[in-house]
Amino acid sequence: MATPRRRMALGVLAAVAWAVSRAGLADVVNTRGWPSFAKFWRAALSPEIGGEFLRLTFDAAKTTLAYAVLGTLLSLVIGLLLAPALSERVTGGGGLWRSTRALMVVPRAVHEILWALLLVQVFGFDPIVAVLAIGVPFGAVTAKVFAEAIDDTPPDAYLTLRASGASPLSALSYGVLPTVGGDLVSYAFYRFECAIRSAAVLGVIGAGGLGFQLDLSFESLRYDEIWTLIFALMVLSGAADAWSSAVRRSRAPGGGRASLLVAAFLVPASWAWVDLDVSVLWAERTRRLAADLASDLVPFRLGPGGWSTLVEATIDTAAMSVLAVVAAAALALVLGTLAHRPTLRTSAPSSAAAAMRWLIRLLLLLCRAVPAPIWAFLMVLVFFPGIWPGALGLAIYNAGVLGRLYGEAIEDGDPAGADALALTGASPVEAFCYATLPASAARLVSLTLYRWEVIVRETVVVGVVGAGGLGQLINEHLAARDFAAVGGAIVAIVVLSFAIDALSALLRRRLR
Amino acid sequence: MSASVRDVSVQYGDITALQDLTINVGPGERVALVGSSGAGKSTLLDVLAGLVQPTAGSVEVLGTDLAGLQGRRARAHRSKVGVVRQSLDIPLGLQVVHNVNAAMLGQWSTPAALWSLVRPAGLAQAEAALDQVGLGGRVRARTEDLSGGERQRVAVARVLRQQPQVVLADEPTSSVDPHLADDVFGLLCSPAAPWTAIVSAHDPDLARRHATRIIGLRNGCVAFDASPSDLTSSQLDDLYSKT
Amino acid sequence: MTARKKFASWRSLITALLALALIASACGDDDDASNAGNPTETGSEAVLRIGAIPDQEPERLQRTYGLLSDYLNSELGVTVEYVPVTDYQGAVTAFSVGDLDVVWFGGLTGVQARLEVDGANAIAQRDIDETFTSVFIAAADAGIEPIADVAGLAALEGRSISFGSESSTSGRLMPQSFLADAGLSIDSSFAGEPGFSGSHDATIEVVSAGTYEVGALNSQVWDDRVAEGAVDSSRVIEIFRTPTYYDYHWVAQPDLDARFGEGFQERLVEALTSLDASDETQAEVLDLFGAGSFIVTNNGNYAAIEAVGRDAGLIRE
Repeated sequence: MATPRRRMALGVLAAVAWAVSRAGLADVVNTRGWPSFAKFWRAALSPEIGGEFLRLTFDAAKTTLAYAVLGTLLSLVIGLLLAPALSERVTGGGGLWRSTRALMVVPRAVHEILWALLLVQVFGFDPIVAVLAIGVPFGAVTAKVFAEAIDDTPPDAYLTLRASGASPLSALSYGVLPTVGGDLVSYAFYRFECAIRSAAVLGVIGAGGLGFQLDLSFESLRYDEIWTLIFALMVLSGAADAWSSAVRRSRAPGGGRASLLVAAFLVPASWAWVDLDVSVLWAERTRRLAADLASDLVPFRLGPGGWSTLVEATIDTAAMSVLAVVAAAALALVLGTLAHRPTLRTSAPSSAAAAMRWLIRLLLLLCRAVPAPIWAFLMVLVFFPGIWPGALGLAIYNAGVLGRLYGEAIEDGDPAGADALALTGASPVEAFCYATLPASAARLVSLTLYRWEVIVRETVVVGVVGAGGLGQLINEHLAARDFAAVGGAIVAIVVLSFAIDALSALLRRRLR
Repeated sequence: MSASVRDVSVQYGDITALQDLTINVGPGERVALVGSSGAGKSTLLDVLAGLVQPTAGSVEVLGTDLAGLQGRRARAHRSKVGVVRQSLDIPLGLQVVHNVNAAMLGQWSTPAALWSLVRPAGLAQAEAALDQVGLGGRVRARTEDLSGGERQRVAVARVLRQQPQVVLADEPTSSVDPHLADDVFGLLCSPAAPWTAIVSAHDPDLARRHATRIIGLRNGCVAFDASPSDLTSSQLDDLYSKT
Repeated sequence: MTARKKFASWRSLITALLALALIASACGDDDDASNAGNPTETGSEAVLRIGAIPDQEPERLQRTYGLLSDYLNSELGVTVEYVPVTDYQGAVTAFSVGDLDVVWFGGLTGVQARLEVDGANAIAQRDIDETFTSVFIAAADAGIEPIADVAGLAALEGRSISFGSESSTSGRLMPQSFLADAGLSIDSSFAGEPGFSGSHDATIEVVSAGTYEVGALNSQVWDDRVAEGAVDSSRVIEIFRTPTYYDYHWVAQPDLDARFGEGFQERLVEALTSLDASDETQAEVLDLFGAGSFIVTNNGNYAAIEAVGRDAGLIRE
């Protein structure tokens, strides 16, 4: 029984050793950069609080929220529409089902920012770009998750209804969705939480929002303004996280309904706020520009440097993702468990411990509220250029996300085991290692593997740091407006994502 | 013929569930299937419902050959077939009325079906059907608040609401309280009902009281096929005895 | 209890989705109706949308183009709107899809924009843009001596270097071109991969931090930061100022006359070039641009930039 686990541990060690050797260990830390690094953190104490900038920040926060709401809505619509096509039960499996599923990796593998950069070539600076850039990749994930939920439900009700002549869709609505509906709603709120963070990095497309303001302030390194915007992001992201948690874990009847009413208000409000006009989707200009982009993109080709540059960049990206996910997992395990560790009934409640817990939760929120490119830039100040600063920037950001997910997994676990150990005299740390951690280990590993898939996509957004990799390659091709070469690099990302998806699925199966 | 199977065999890996089975059921018959568990009752009903493809042989229900039946024709055919399955196939999370209305999915268009989840259509008919199985007044209850036996009765109410031409029911009263089981079984096999019924029974007494024809199955083959009055207790004893 | 909650959520979800579908279709209709006044369409309410590559801090851009918009509005009698952009390529894209009518581009982005929009014209530039320069800076403790001429840049071989934005003329293209003149390739002559900090200010920061030994940026930004006292000379120093080249310029869409009336482009150029330092507001605009005046330019002035861009692989078509 221990063998697959041991083999996996060895595999992880080997992967890390390889990634470290690829990144190099000589001349990593740049101690001379500390003053610049410290300057950023000192600015946290004196954020820009001028009335005009606060108003600007408030409006930008509303825009970010609006994009997140509309993007989530679109992802749900896509998810609900595509889920039947991705469900083994509905389609009956087979070759077509297998290829549709495989095809869904493509929209997921392309990061929201890349989607935005391509869509802006077609729609110009239009709010629809942000909505599509969030909604399309998220819709692909949502469809996959919904399809899996359908397939994991006992089949009887569905089959019986089909035998009485119900169409697949009706049979789903009456026989499956009622059972999994709660889970789907939960997942929708989790997507919303992710959409807030995505909307916050979509600054490049010039559609406004906190990400846009961050980009503007970042251009000239106005740290005081950057901190004001970061605080706004923390408030927005923290509120979304709390709401999503409450919905997903609430045991109170009617709580879900209240949340849906709020959501139903937010959608038209968001629509009006960003002045979304869906008619651009079929406007004449859109058709013309889409045709232009398609002819620019296809056929894909290699940029200057040819295969060797592309392959080297892909390998660097893989190494960066391995370092990032391992560092993120380690950091998240420490912070997440400290922040969410269940209180043992044997230990007296202490306000110091509670304060500590909230402080760490705040730190995790900061980690995930600051967009990964900004973390990467800060890492560049204290590390020499290369794979490390990119990997560590991604690691800090993702530790914020993972820490929260780990914490929830641990909180959801049964505390009885740890209590029993504590009663026999085990210290909290011992009880944690012997009872709490083993009980949630499988869930933690599976969360980490999913995150790895996400991190691979995110490596493209930290191209700023001279880390090489596909991110920098794509930036260079974009600067040259060589979309065919951008397409070629995107194919490389998709291939890498396929490989990591497959590997991660294999590992999850082995561990089950 | 309302239903006929000819030389049907069903093979699950090494296990033979049905072997060269031939049965013809005429219009209006109330056929009870009896036999010990594993005899092939559920498989036979699944084959008739089109849920299981036979490994060999042919199946015809209401004059329609089930082999290769697909799309619109399949839906039109299936809407005339009412199914109650042994496993609890009443999904939780819906009000009882929707589970009864699920009977109509073969006749309703998909948008109409979806809209009915918001504003239930045919509330009165659903209520009448529930009334017949002793669940009148529970039309707006939540399915998960019902007991196992009550859920099974909802499944029967679903068939009553559907008013199909053929009813295929697999031990429809296995979890229902004994004093109610007789009534519910009687509903499915009622002489007044406009359908042909093929119902498997866990209790041979129920079969005797309500069916017009009793088929005993054993190891996937027909052991006997008789009218209730002709059926002897030794035939039944043989059926349930160990081999 | 949980199942009960799930039910509530499920039914509400359907209600909400149906409601949304209705709202969405209603909104869509409204927007179709209001779309008639879309500024990119021909019509009397047409708005002249101006933009700029983001080479300065946003407040300054906002102030600069806010004032300029007001000035152009009063001179030309059309509504002028400034659309901020966060990204060099974003500005090119917005121009190429027709979202921006007149854009203040850098040398390279201006050429890229004209290559994408047939018939677009370079119309005006600042007096200083004929003789623009970049600076090379170095970490003070990297031990790099000031460099006398372009050939002297060869001394930077084996150092690590950071540029600004990939698409910047003064922060990447021209420095890269002068390095090439000195025999250095950014792909192979430096330690590691070259960095792209994203902006001129970020380049100063990463060189100050010592992460990169050498950086290259717009000399105007560098001079401003030095004058503001924002540069710590104990950590970062200027080592070389490049020869001059043509850089920033205004590029206009080819259809301005068709949309805003005959002779509009000419009036626009006239308005830009007649900005006068003796008028208080106009003086502020010129000051914010760091210019004495605007002068007429033409596409031919950027042939050299285009050639350099092709050599550097930044113009590939």
